Amino acid sequence: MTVNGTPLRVVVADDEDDIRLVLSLQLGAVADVVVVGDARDGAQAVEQCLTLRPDAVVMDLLMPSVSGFEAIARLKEEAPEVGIVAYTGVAGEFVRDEMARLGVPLVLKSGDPEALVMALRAVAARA
Amino acid sequence: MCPGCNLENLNTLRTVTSNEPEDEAPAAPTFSPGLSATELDAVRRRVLNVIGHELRTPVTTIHGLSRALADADATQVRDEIAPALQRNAARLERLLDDLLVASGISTALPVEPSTPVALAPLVDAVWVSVSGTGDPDAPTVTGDAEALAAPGAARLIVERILDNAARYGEPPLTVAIERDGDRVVMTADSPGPEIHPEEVALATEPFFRGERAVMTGPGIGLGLAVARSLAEHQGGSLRVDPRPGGGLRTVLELPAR
Repeated sequence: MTVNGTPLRVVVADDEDDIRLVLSLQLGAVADVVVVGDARDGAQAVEQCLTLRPDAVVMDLLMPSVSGFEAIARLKEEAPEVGIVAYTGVAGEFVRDEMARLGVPLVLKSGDPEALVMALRAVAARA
Repeated sequence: MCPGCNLENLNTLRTVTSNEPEDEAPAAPTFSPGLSATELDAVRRRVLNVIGHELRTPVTTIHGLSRALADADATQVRDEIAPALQRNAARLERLLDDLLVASGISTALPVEPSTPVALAPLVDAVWVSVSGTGDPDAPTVTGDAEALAAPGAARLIVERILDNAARYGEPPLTVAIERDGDRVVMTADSPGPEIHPEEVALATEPFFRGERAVMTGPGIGLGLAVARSLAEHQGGSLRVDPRPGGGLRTVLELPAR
């Protein structure tokens, strides 16, 4: 899982400390993936994406202050080269429709990282 | 014991913001009679959505961390993984207890016998456990009296009352404790903005979250419902009233020693 032979650089954004811990362990265990950033809300996620220019960001949607929805909109505008995977515990019709409209793959939070890793591969290959 | 708590009674529930997307801001059902089948189904979905949302983080964390154990070194297990597993297992346990107790399910209610419990020291002890020592916003406690209650239940009741005040009220929190005949009355006054009377009336109902709570942060709306259910099980009562000047007044009554 590399981009042009280099490791895939990923920022993870979630307001729950333990979910970020899980993500860093899950993704850190995948060969050729490096977690380069760790954000607690949408504002930090955007800031880190603009500073670190990762290949992809794992974006929780329901976060305080600046939500994942707002962060995605900003990234689409200001850093369109960053692949985005929406990562959520709640995916009803509104979320599914909105992410489909934005062209952002949606992954349900799970202790099994397979779906997330596949989605990251897809957005990295697309970028 | 707790009208409207059980899923069978969800025909008394109505969501506060009925146009809210089901997957966007879980919580905040309120109570109103006469829902149609469609509305009842929407409420049922809303309640299950609230519970699912609250379960998702601890379940995901425990599952993910247990998978990561095999590749983690001993230091990482000791410093990060084990504490996180314990936190999230405790979160699940509390959620399970809250759901059952708030719903008045008798099998989850305390089994320990009633003993004399001095409320003023309990308030101080619970506040320290919630906010730490030396907190400048610690409540001012006046009076004291001994209630006759299961100690664990009394602690949980006081904890949920203080936790609610700390989350959604503004300092200074005052707690007055007095004996009134064969009852002990604890009145917690938590200043804050004026609260709509309908919200006050619903504050002890399971899954209800007021506008301020929804804006403040995540939650499932069980804190005061748990306190009320436990208080009733102990032979007492819990009610909330508007606080004169704004905010919430929570009145707990328990049998006196």
